[in-house]
Amino acid sequence: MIHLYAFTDAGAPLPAATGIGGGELAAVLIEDVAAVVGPLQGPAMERDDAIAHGLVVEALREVADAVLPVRFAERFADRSALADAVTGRLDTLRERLARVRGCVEFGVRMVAEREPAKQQPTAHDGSAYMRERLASLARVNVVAAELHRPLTRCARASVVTPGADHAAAYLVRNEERAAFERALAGFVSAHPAATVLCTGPWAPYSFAEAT
Amino acid sequence: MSVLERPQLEPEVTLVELVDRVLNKGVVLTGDITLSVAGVDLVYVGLRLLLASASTFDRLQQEEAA
Repeated sequence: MIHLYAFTDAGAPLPAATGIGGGELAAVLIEDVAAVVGPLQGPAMERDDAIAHGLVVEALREVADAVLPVRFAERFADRSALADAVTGRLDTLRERLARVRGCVEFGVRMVAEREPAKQQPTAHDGSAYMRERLASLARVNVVAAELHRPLTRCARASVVTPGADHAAAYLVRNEERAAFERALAGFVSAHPAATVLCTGPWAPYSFAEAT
Repeated sequence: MSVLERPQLEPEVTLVELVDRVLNKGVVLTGDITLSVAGVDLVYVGLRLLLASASTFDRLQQEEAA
C-alpha cells in the first residue's frame, strides 16, 4: 500500500521528513506532476497518522514552490493504481498547482464583541426582541466585512467558511504576507474587543479543490 | 504574527487547525471515503474549549489592564 500526501511540480525537492509510521517519502512522476507518497502498513486511521500526514505536507510546503495537499486517507495498492487515478485529472491538477504557486494559506477566525446581554424578552415584545437580534447580527456582519475586505486585497483568493462570526482561509502570495499581517493587525487595533485567531502559513488546503 | 501571541494556546490551535485541514480539505481523488479517525472527536472538543478560553483570556487581560 502507498499513501498519497500531496502533489507538487516534477523535479521539486522532497523534504527531509518521514511520513506515517516513519516511512520514507518518494515522488511518483506522472508527466510533469509529482505525487508525493510513502509506504503504508495497515489502515492508518489514527489521529497520529493524520497529524503525520499534515506534517509531511507542511514540510513539503517549506521546500517546494507549489504544493497541492491531498485530503488524508487517499491510499493505493501500488504506483500504477495511483497513476490510473491521477492521469485523468492532470489538467485540473496543473491548473491548481499554477493557482497556488508561490502562495501560502492563512486561516482567520474572528468573534466580534457582543452587546451586553439584555433582559429576557417578555412574550408581548417578541417582535422587538427579534428586531434587536437582527440589528445585532447586522453589526456583526459589518465588523466581519471590516476584517474580510482588507484581507482579500492582500490575497489571491479567499474562502469564507461557516464558524465564528467570521471564518475564512486566504491564499496569500509570499510577497504579500507582510501586507496581510499588517491588515490583520490594523483590524485588531481598530477592534480591540474582538477575538481574532490567525494561523498559518499553511499549505493551501482550502484551495486544492474547486472553490 | 502579532495577533495571536498566546504561547500557551498556540500548540493547541495549531494542532486543531492542522487536523481540520488534513481531514476536511485538500485534493480528493477517490471521493468516496467515509472517514472515521480514532481520537479526532477529542480534537474538536478542544476547539470549542479553545474559543471559549481565548475570549476569557482577553477579558482577563482587559480586567488586569483596567
